[in-house]
Amino acid sequence: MVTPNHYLALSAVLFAIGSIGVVVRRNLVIIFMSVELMLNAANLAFVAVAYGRGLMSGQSIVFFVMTVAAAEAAVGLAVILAMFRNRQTVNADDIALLRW
Amino acid sequence: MTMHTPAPQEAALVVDYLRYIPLAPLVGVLIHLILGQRAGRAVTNIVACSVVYVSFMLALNAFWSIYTGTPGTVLSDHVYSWISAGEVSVDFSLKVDALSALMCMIVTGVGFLIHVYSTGYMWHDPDYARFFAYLNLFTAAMLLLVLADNLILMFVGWEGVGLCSYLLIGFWYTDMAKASAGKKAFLVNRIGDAAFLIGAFMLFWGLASAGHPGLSFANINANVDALPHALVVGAALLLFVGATGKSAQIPLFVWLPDAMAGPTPVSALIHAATMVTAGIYMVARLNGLYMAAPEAMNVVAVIGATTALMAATIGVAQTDIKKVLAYSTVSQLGYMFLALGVGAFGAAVFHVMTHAFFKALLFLGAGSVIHGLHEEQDIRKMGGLRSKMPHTYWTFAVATLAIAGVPGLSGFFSKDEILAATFDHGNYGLWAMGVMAAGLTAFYMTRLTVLTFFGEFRGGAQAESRIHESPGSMVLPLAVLAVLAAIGGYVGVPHVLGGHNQIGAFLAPVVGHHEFQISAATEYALMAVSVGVAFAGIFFAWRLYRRGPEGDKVLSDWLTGGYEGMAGAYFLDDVYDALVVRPIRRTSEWLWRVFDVEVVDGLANGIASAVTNIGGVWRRWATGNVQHYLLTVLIGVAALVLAVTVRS
Amino acid sequence: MTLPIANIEVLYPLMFACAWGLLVLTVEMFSLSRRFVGIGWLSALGLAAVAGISLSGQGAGEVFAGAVALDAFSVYFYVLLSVLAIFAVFLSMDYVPLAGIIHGEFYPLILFAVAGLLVMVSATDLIVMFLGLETMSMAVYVLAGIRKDELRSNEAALKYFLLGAFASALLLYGIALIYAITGSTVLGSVANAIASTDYLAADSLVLMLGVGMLLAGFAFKIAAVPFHLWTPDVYEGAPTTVSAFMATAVKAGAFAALLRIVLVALAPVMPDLSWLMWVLAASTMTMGNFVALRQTNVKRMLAYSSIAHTGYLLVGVTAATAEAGAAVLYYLAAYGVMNIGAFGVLAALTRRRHALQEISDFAGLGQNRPVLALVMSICMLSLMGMPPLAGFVGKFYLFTAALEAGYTVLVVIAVLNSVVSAAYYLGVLRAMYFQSADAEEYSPRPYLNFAVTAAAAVTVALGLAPSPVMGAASRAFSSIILGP
Repeated sequence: MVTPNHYLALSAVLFAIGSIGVVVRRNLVIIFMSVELMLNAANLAFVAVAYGRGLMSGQSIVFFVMTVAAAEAAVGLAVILAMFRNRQTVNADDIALLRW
Repeated sequence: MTMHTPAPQEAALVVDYLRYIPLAPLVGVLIHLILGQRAGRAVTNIVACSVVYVSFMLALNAFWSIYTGTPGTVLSDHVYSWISAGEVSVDFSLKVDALSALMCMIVTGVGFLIHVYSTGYMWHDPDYARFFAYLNLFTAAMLLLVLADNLILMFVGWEGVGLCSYLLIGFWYTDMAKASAGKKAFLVNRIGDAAFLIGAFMLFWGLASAGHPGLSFANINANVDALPHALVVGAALLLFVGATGKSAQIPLFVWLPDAMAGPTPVSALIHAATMVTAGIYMVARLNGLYMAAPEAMNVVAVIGATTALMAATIGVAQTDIKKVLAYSTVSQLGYMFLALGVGAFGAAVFHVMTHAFFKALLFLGAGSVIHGLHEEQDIRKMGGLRSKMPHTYWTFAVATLAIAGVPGLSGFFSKDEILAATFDHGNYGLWAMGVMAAGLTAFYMTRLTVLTFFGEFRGGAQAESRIHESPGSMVLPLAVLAVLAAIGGYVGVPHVLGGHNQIGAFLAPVVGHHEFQISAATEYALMAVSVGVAFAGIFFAWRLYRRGPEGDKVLSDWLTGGYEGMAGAYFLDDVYDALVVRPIRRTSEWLWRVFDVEVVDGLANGIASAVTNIGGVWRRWATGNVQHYLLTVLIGVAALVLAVTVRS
Repeated sequence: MTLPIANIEVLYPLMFACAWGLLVLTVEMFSLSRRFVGIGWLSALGLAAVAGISLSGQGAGEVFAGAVALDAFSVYFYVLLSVLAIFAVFLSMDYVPLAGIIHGEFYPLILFAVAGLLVMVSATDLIVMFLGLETMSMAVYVLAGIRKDELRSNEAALKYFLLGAFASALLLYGIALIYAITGSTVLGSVANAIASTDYLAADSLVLMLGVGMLLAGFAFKIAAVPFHLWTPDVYEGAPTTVSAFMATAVKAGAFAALLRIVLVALAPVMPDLSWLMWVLAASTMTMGNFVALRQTNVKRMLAYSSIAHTGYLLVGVTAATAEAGAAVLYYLAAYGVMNIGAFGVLAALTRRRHALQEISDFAGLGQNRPVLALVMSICMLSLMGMPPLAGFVGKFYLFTAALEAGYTVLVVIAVLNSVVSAAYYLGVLRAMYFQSADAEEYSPRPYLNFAVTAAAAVTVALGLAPSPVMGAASRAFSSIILGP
């Protein structure tokens, strides 16, 4: 029997994978995808809680978060693209003009 | 033991002109800022002096009201309620009582003379508008400090004078050493100010919890008994640390000698006559608080006496005319703290006044010498200026005798009262230190005067031909100050000499009355000791330096048989030299090089560089790599979450 | 026809800000000149109208089942944010052409960012707060990188974006965990749920996990240590007026949201967490000040200074009394105007497409441009805490409130910190007055000069007469403590 707690556990796993991805991958696009994974982990948690407790709010929150994620993707890719056009790189290690 | 009668209840008289006393110089600042150099020299000079003159006249009016009013009259001017936090409100209120009336007279009166002097001194400086803007701003801030009726408003002036001092020390910015001297002065002052602020906060909090909210001086002094004793002592000590910063006492005195980098009128006004006395003024203002904290009073007395002796010793070996005067100022301020520490608040304020006269005069005279010698400050390259700069010489000589404590001149009365009060208080050790410092003061001041004005000129023929006496705008203030330095002490002639100590009686409603318990005979004896010590100092210095900067040279001349006829006299000099002067000179060199430069200054610099080094290390945390930042955020979250969960 | 939403008036300032942003975007499309300052004026007008509408007193209360509230707290921040944004707009009217920013979206983006901030400060629901935060962030990501051909601008946008998105994800997951335990995202209900239920250990662990992540998300936005690393890089790389906006308006908005969360939703657990706030406050101000000492780039120095000021503000959050909260609100206003002035002077020193940012670039300013130098001095002295300027009064309020709440050691640390800070603010003054340099030719910059002079004037005025703003701050703060 799959309970909401199982979904919560899955969401935690997804969140962990996302946050590890953020710090270990060097490619900016993949780092960003990892962040999106974290957002979706949160979405899953909201839905699972809403389902388990019989609440509506969690379900509707997910729509807002999806919109946010979409907007973030648009802005994020634009920022990465602008960077790529000037530098021909999407490697996080190559970007350290601003420091100290 | 001393009988100390606390100040009686005061009767406030509401007036509305006090606010114009600090406002007038502020208007001057605005005019200088807006018009700048466009106004021309004449207009700038007139504006700068006349705004201070307006303040002086208003201060005189206030002083007259206090002087002629019933004892304990207080003028107050409530401008508006500035900061209100909960039940506590800090008002923009000004108050004149006997203490602040006297300080106001000193600040505006001496300040006015120095403004006039500056018009001559800065005549050739292209940046005169900026100079007078700073000088007027300083005067406004100082007046606010003096007139404020609460600790926070006083802090506004307190910080303001520090800022102006910083700007004026670095005024001639072409010299980077001068600019960094300004920075050092400001930072050392800020350390003191932090202590001041923490002390003020402690009082704020303590008084609010005791049910007497408010930081007005009247409230603090009146309700000090309602506070826990530890808090009173702590606040008094912290405020005193603030005072050591502003008034250049151990350990925060290091900035004052460096501050001599500024124009000489600035040294006279800010670093001798007024700003550096702010610490003394503050302690006298809070006499109720300090009387309730005998432990803090002892610290004040010990620091004061130690500083007086140490700085006087260092003054012996300095060769820069302004550095000698700077250490002398530190030493004289030490006397004032000694007086405060033994509860002789009136004597301290009396010495503030006489010191303002003779030290301003000394600095202005030194400025006149520097001006006449085209920026030469080394006394080894001076000499024989008596005939070339007669006005400067005569006025300088009066000031020297006054600070040395020659009977009849102003310094004698105030210094003597301090020493008598110290003896009366039972601190014989501190008294002895004060007497030693008095002897050294007479010695180094005579040395300075002799090397500058007597003997032959040692700066070369070319420089000699260009020496000139200073213009009238500079000499006139010297003359006025010389008169004050000579007769200024007669307001405080002690009872044993048939006087009435009018200044003591005048200040009594504010700082309490101080009745000596020692007998008249003891008082005469003490007087004789300090006069004897002063004359001894003058005598030794005269013998040793009348022929030039090297006392040692005297000895070698005698050995080669150059002056056989006066051998006996020189032998005597040799003995003085070996037994008295050389040990003092050595101690002086040692104190200066080791204590001042290495220990205190080194400590200050060490802390500063430690802070910047830590900053330099922490700075490397921001590597620029976005993933390091992401990792830091992740670790931070983990730490935060751990902290939150573990604790709850 | 009326919309079927009760209390819709509450949303008028918000709706107006969004609509005005769209209007400005449309007008800009049809404007013929790229340098059309009318767009700036139009934006400023809209922002002024937002402040006016929120002050008009129409519609106080809540909407969307208690998700958005227009209480005195919201009004205070609506006005503050509008004023700060107007300053940023005026700074930009000269700066944008100078910096060679040719994108018409600049002003609409500022308006959208303001709209997001307005949502954030008036939200009484965690998810609405998150939405406001994201709306604002999205606009600011773009603004930071609006100079597309500038490598530093690119990098600033990228760093801000990646770290911001990461922090948002943490924040959102924190909200999800809190939702999982309390079953609500409305601040008041969360507080009630936390206070009234005796949770099993496992539940309380999850809850605190959520609280920790939520706090971390806001600690990031206000730039508290150790979440501060993005600040110097982003402020340095972003266009100067955008940095000004970020350092002032965005920080004020984030603090407003943090105050609502800490003092409403987390009120039941705050007594256990005050030590954590204490540590955050102390380490943030010390870190900011110590590293600022080592900066030679003024923009970076101001960034570290803004971190240090986050630390001072956190002293107020730690104390968490009514006085301390009001002090935080006042300080945000004071800090906002003085920082606008400082960044504004930096913007005013821009030469054609080249921003002057090093401390040495300030050499001789006292002689060559006395008014700018005076403005910069006032702002530096105020940031340093020199009385009687706004920064001093703000610190006075903050520190006395913290003392009354019993945080003596923290206040001592803060006062000592302000001693350290004097050293680097003084460096700027020293360059301006104690060093000389040849005068530069500048094109006339009327709007910039006006804005920085006004900011300095407000800094002085807020210091000399703090009572009106402080009164408003007290009322504003008590509205979230005692309100529904």
